[in-house]
Amino acid sequence: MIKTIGWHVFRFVFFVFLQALVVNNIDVADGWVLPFIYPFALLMLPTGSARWLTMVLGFVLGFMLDSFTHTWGMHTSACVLVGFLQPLVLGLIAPREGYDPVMRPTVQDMGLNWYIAYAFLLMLPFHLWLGFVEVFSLDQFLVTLGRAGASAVAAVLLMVLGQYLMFTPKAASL
Amino acid sequence: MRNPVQFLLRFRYLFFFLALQAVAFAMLLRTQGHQQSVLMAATGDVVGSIQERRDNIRSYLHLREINEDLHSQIVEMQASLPSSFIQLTDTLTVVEDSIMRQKYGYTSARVVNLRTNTRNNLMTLDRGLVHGINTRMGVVSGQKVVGVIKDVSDHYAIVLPVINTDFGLQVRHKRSGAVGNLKWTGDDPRTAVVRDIGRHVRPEPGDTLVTNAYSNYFPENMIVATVKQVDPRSDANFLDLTVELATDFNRLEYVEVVENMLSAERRALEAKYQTPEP
Repeated sequence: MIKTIGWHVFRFVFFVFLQALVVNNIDVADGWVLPFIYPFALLMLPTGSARWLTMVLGFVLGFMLDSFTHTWGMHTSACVLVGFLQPLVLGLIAPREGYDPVMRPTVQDMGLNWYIAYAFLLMLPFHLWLGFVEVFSLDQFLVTLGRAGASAVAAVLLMVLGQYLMFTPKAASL
Repeated sequence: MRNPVQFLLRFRYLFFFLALQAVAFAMLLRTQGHQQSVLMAATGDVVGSIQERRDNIRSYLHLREINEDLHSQIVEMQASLPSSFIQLTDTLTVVEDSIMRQKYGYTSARVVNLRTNTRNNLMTLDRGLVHGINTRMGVVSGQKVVGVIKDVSDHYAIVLPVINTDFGLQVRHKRSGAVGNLKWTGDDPRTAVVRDIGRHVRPEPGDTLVTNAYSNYFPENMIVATVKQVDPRSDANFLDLTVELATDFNRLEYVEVVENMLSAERRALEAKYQTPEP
């Protein structure tokens, strides 16, 4: 139990660093694609987590990233949204027999199709929320929409690819 | 709706969500001025030092581009130095631009291969015929002598560096003007000997040895070496000096190829009287 919590803490810190120091420097297609992959730390929270907990942890994670990018509140807000939606999305795409508590929400444990649905249903609202909070207006609505959509697809892609690199099937715990 | 407590309980997650969003948006909208500086003080030190480290790494990774930039600037400036020009007339009549004529041209080159641990070291540059490089050109780095072009292909040039036992160069003791012959000893890439300096000169450790005007390859006063010690085995009339070469071959990365634009003319004239090549 302690070990699992340790991994979650490590993941929070690691992905914030990865996002702020590496992924934020990605510049694809004139800035149209800027994937945010650090919410992966939230997506890894166990399937049975309390809703208030996922929201609080979302707040913490977003605030950590905001400290780096000096966008106080922007990522905090978007991550709270992910924390709010995560249990809903999990309920929406739950397998017929429900979640086995030992299964983690990963490609290896839940399958590729399930994971893409899970990640996309969370990352699309996240990027949309972020995009609209960032410009704070509905001007150029379609541009913001397009950027958010493209970035969300890129983020899901990176998360899936990353899991093939990080996890060995049915083992390891990063 | 009759029971407000039940209502609150029913939508407790939504209220919690809205409360957290309110905090986040308060941060977003009000973090100007004071609030921001409070937040910055709380997180700034840690984040700042991490970001500084990141910037250090990034500027380290870009050193090569910066070097190339600086080096092309050096080459440009060197070609416009007064020492790259010779005076064509002694009278001060200004007729258009014909008083000065450029004598030395410089081309920047990168060292792509160099050994310093054999007796006959050679060096390869990434410039060749298509870049205007030819044999009978000198190679310098900054104001320091590196060697001469020995052979050249379309895109590469082979340099006979100072640290090759085949290399010899007449040098001038800068303080006194006396000349001697420099030869590499064949082992330490920083050390060479200069023979046949007149005994009257009294060279001292630290004195500079430079190229002289006899050279067909190098402009005058390029630094070759500094005196390390006077060899005690010198004979009655001439001194031998142990000198430290100015160029550190182990760190050499960029060089300039010097073209003496008048050397062909000089050689043609000198050939008529069979003057030995300096």
